[in-house]
Amino acid sequence: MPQVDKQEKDWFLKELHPHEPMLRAWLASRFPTISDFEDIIQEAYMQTIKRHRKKELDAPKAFLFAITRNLCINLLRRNKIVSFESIKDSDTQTYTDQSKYIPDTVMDKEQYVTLTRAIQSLPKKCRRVFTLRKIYGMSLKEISEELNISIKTVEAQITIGVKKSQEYFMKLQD
Amino acid sequence: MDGHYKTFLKTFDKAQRQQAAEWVTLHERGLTDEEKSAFEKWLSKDPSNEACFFEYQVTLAGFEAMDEWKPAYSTSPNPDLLDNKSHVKTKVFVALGGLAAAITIAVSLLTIMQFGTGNAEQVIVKTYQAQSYEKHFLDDGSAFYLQKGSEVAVSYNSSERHIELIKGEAEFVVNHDPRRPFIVSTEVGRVTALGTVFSVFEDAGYWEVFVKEGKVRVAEVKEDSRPDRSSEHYTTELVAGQRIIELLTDEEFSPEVETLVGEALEARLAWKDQIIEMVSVPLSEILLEFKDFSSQTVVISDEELKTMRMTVAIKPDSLYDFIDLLALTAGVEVNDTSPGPIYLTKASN
Repeated sequence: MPQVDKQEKDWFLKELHPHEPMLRAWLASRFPTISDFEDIIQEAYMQTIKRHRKKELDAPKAFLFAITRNLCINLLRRNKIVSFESIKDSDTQTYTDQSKYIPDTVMDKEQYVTLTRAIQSLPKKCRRVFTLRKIYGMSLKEISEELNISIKTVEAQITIGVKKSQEYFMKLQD
Repeated sequence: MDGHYKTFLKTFDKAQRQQAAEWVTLHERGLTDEEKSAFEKWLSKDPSNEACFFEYQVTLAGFEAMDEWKPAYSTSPNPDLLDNKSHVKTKVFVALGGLAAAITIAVSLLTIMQFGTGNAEQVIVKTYQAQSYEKHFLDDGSAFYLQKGSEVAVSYNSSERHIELIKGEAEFVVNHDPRRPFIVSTEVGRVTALGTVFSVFEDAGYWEVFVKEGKVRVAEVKEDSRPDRSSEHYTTELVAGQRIIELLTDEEFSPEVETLVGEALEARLAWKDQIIEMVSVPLSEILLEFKDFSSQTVVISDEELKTMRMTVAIKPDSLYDFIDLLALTAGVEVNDTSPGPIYLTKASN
């Protein structure tokens, strides 16, 4: 079982935690109808750490924000979460933590659907490049060979895909 | 009020957006030293450049975890994996009861075998066994979720996608393809997805198929359950809200079809959620809820921690995630001695 060790805690404190104020402001501006981001942020931290365990993240801050955004989009869709609250003392109601927990299995399916639809919304060439890059983890060079196109074309398609995906996700937030 | 995208377009001009997206692409490929300098220069040119770049960086980073959904046994990458132009996405749920004891997580390629005769194509048969709730992806864009203790064998060819549910329960998300049916078979019967959500339950004396959405074709199968070798003795189609039940103790296959309504229907639809909610319950009692789903021993070596009360909503097959959350958010120190016990203590600071 992967456990949160000291190294991981240090990484969390250095790479993720300092961005929390910015993350909260970023979320508040994009999802004004969500009143409480505690559960979302805790879940996003967990997912980011889990991902980092599997494969070192190049841009952990961006990944954290992306996961949080996806969770918010899914929350708006579902409009239902389950709670995880740690209560230190039931009599005094002194909370040591306010975090909440969304089951992985629910999240995974929703995330799968959201991201899949985002890729499916792209133009064909773009979708093919994104599929090879993001699902099969192929390098840009490998993609150019697989699709028999130049690396410049692969790069151009990723640029188009980034812009169109951005549009797709932002419209989901409206 | 403008939507988020319109606001974004107003905040950053067209050229800036294009440059930001191109820089994100170059970061994806990896920057040369020269490009690093140029990037720094571009950032310092306008403070809003970084914000625009970050927006696109977040967008691309969001796809980062998708490699976890790579098809488990594809022989070559399929750039059209997510092409939905010719398919309709549907969900299929299959469950089979009477779970056995925990099985080690294992995904094993059984064999490459040939079905049929003559110029039969190669079919890869792969088995999946799950210790906990797992997800796997197939190279036609379908996916399936395995419950703990479940086992399936997957074999695809050009005319059919065949899943044999050996034991346990599984949920399928099927990329529907009328030219290549998606068939789930068990020892008793076979269920063909006709664009729907359905479940199959089977234990020693009871067999049930329940349709949540759409329609399924149910067939009794005798002899070999492999579709190209078997013979069907009973077939029927079920629609949403209907179920078919067969008591396997009867010698004749004589199933009954009934339509569920009201609470019975709700209960049948909700059964797989398996979320247990507890309010202000000691941690020691919460951990007991995981016992049926995990053989992992957890020792709370701290009296204060044992009585620490929590309000939780848990999936009882998610012990390790729960412990991760305790460590991250509840001041609990975790000492994992796997395959030995996991020890929980109150963090010192």
